[in-house]
Amino acid sequence: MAYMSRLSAALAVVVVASASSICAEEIAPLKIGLMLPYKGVYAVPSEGIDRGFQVAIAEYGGKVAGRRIEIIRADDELTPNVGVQQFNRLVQLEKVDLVAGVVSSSVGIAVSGLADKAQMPLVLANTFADEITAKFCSPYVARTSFSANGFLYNSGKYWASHGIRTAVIMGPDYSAGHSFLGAFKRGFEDGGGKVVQEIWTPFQKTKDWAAALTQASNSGAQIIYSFYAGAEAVQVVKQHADFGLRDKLPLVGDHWVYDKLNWGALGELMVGPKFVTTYLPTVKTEANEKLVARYRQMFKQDPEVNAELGYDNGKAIMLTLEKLGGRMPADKSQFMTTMRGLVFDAPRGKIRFNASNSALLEKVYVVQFAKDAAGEPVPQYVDEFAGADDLPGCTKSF
Amino acid sequence: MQLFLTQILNGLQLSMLVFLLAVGLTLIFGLMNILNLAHGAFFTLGAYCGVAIAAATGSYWSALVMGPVLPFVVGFALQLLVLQPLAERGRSTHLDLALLTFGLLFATAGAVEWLYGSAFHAIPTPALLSGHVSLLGLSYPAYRLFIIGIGLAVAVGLNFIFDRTLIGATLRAGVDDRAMVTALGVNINVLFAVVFGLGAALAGLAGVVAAPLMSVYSQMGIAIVVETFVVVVVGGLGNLKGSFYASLIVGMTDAMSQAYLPEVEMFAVYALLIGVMIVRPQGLFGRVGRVA
Amino acid sequence: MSTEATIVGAVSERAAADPVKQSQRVARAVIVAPVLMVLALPWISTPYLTILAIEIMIAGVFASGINLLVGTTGLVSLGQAMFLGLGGYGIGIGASVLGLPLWISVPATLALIGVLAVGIGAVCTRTRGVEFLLITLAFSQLFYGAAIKLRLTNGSDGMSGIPRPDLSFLGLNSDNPMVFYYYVLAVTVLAVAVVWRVVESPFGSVLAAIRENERRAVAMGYSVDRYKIGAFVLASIACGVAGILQAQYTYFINPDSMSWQLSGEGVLMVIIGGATAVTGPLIGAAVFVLVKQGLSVLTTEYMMFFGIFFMLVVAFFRGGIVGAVQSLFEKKS
Repeated sequence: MAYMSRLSAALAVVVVASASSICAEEIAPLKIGLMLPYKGVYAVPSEGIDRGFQVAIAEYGGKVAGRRIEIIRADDELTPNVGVQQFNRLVQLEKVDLVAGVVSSSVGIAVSGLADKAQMPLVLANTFADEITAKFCSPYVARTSFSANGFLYNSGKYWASHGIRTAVIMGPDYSAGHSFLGAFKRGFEDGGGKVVQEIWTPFQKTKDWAAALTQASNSGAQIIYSFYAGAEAVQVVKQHADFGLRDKLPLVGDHWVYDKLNWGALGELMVGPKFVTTYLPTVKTEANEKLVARYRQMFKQDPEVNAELGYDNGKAIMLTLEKLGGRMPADKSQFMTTMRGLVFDAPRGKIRFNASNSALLEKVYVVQFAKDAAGEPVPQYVDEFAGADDLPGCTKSF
Repeated sequence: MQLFLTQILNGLQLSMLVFLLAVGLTLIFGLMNILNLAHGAFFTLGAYCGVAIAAATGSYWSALVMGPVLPFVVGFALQLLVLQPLAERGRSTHLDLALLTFGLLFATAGAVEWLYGSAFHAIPTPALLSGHVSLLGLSYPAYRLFIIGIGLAVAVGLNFIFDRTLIGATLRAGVDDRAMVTALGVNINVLFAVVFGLGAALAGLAGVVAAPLMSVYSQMGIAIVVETFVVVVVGGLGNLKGSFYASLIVGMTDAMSQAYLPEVEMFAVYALLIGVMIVRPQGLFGRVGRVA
Repeated sequence: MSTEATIVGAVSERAAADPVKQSQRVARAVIVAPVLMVLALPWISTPYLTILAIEIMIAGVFASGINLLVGTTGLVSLGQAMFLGLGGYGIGIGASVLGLPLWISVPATLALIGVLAVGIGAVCTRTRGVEFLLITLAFSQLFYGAAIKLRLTNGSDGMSGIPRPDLSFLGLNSDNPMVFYYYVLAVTVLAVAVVWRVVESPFGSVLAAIRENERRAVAMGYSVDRYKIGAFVLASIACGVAGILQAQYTYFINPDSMSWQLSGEGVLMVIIGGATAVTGPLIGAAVFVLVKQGLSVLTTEYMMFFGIFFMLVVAFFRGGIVGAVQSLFEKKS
C-alpha cells in the first residue's frame, strides 16, 4: 500500500498544482515563466539574474496596467532535455504567458525551437551564441542581452590596437565558447594581431588546466585571451596564477572570467588584471542609479553583471507589456514586434534591438578590480569602446 | 623537452590525486566486495570540511589534518550501520549495494548544495607552498609537487601497513578468505567499517588536497568518480599495488592526451579501459580467476 | 490517473492467470478500462498530462530495454544510455548531415545499433556482476566523450531540428502533441510487445535460466554467451528506439543523453517497477517521471531527493512495485 500512497502523493502534486493554477486565473495575473539553471555550475550567476529580474518587476510595483505579474520559476539544470521538459511544464501546466530567462546557449537553442512551434514568446536573458538570433532565429524569440560578436569583436580590435600582437585563445569547447572566442579572434586579426594557438577544453569536464597552461606558456604569445564562467573560471584563474603566468602571460578575459561573484573563491587574484565588461556598477546614469538603489534595498548588496542582465530581461518585458496595456496580444508575435521597437536606457547603456530581435550593446568597458575601504572588490574604469553588430544569418522573415 | 617534462609532472600530479581516490575504492572492493559508487561523495565531503576548517582556523594544515575526519566517520558509520546490515539481511547483493551507493552519491551532492549553496569555494594555497620550485631547469608550482609527494607518501605508507603489520596481514587475509579471518576471532564487521572509513578518509584527503587547485562545489565528486573506476578496473579490482600503477597509467594518459592529442582527451582513458578489459578482464595487475 | 489504472491492470493480469473463474470477468473489465483510458487520454485530460504521458512512455521503452538485461538476464548495465543517445544521434545525423528521410534513417539507425551492440555485447558479456556494470559504464563514457568531441554532431551543443515523422498522408501533423502522443503510443505498444514476446519465448526462458544459475544453464548445454549477447542486442535496440522517440519529442539531441546519470535513472525505473515483470518497467517509468515532475514543482533540491529516493527503493523495495502488489495480492488470496 505504501507504493500506492507514494504514487497518489505524486499524482496529488500534479493535481494540486493544476488546481492552484485554475484558482489563480480568477484574479488573472500575467504569468512569466523564468527558466534558469538554479542549481549546478551556473547557479551563482543565475541567482544574480533572478534578483535583477525581480528588481525590474518591483520597479513597477509588481503590476502592469493594473495586472499583477506572477513569476514562475523553473530549473533547466543547464541541460537541453530538461530545459525542454521544463518549458513544456511552464507552457502547458502553468499556462504562462511568456517565458524569460535561460543562460545556456544549448538550452536556448533547444527551447527556441519549441517556442517557435508553440508560438510562445521567449525572451532570452543570456544565451550569447551568435546562432540564437541568426541561424535559429524566430519571430517568437528575442534576446535582451547581446551576441558574442557584439561583445567581443571590438574587444579583439581593442587589444590589437593596444600593443598586443599575439594571443592564445583558450575556452570551453561549446557554442558560447566558440562564439565568444571566435568573435575575439576575428576582431583581433582584423586589427592586425595574430592568434598563435587555440586551446579548447571540454565544457564542464575539465578540472585541471595544467596541460593547457603548459602548452600556452610555451607558445610565445603575449596574452591568453579566454572565456570561462562559474567554477571553470575559478579554476583557470587560480591555476594560471599557480603556474606563475600572471606577469609572463597575462590571462585576459571578460566579466565572467573575473566575475565579482567568484570573489569568495578567488579573492586577491582578481585584483589587477584588466578585463572587458558590459556593465559598470559605478556609472552615474539615472537608469543605473535606480537599479543600484533598489538592488541594495532588496538584497543588501550591489548589483553585478549578471544582475544587470536579469534586470534588462525583466525591464524589456515590462516595457513591452506596458505598451500593450498589460495584455498578451492574440497574435503573440506582436509582443515581439513591440519589443523590437523598444529603445530604452538600461544601466549598461542604451538598448535597441536589431531586425532579428537581438538587443545590441552600446558600449563595452575595460576595467580592473580594486579593493574599496571595506575590502570589497570594485571595478575601476580604464577605457571603453563601442559594441559591434551581430553576425548575419537569420533567413526567416519576421 | 622542458615542455614535455612539465607535462610529465602534470601527469604525475593528476595520477597521485586519482590514486588517493582509487586506493580506497579498491581496498573497499577487495575486502567487502562493495563497489562504492558513492566514493566521490567522500571527496566532496572532505573538500567542504577542508574549506570550513580553513576558513575557521585560517590554516591549510589544520584543514589537511582534520578534513578527512568527517569522511572517515561517515564512511565508518555507513558501512557499519547501513551497508553491513543490509548485506546481512540477505536483502541485497553486492550489486544492490552498488546501486544504493549510486543514490548516495547524488543525495550527498544534493545535500551539500542544499546546506552550502551552489557557490564555488576554495582553500587558499598555503604560503609555504605558493611559490615555485626550480627542478631540472624548469619551474613548477610547489603545491603541485606537494600533491605528488602526498600521493607517494600515502602509497609508501599503505604499502608498509599492508606488507609489514599485523593489521595488514589481517586485511590481506580478509581479501583472500573472509571466513578464515572471522574464524580467527577478528571482529570482521568493525574491521570492515574501519577500512571503509579509511578509504573514505583518503578520498576526503584527496578533496582537501585538490581544493587549492580546483574549485570546490557540490557536484565535484560526481565528475571525478568515473575516472576513479577506470583506475580501479585497470589495476585489478581489489589490488592495492595495481591501483598505484594504474593511477600512473590513467593519469599520464589523461594529461598527455590533453596536451598532445586533445581530440581524444575525453575518451582516451575509457578506450584504455576497454582495451584492458578485452585483453585482461581481471585488470592489468589483477589475479586470474577472480569472480566479482 | 492512467498510472493508477495500470497498476490495477497489473494486478488483474495476475488475477487472470489464476484459475479463479469469477475474478476473470472483473479482471477483463479492469484490463479494458485502462486500455480505453490510455487511448482516450489526450481527449479527456489536459495537454500537460498528455505530455507527461509521452514522457512516461518514452521512459517506459527505455526501461523495458534495460529490464531485458537487468531483470530478465540479471546483468546490471550502467551504460544503456549510450544506445539512447545513439538512437537520437542516428536520426539526427541522418536528417542534418546525410539528408535522409526517417523511413531510411530509423531502420538504418536501429540496424547500426544492433551491429554495434553485437560487438560491445561480446566484450561486455565476458564479464559479469560489478565488472559488467563497470565495462558498460566505460563504453557509455567512451561514446559520451566521443559525442562531446565530434564536430559532425556539434560537440556538446548537440543537434537540433530532429525530425518527427511526417504524417501528412494521414492529414496529421506530428508537431501537434495529441498526434505525437498516438505515434509514441503506437511505437511503445509495439516495442513493449516485442520485449514481452522475447521474454515469454524459449529464448527468454534461457535468459531467465542464466539469471537464476548461469552454471546450470551452461551445463544444460546452452551457449550462454550467445544468449547474453542476444539479450544485450535486443536491449540496446529497445533503448535506441527510446532514444529516437526522445530526440523527436524534444527535437533535440546532445551528449547529455548518453550520461551515466541517465543510465542510472533507467536502472532505477526498472528497480522501482520490479525487475522481473514486463509491466514493471512501464510502472517504474511512470512513477519515476511523476515523482521527478512532482519534485520539480515542489522543490529545486531535486538531486537530493532523487538520491534519497533511489537509496530507499534499492534498500527496501527490491521487488519493486509490481512485486509488492503481487505479494499483497498473494497474501489476500
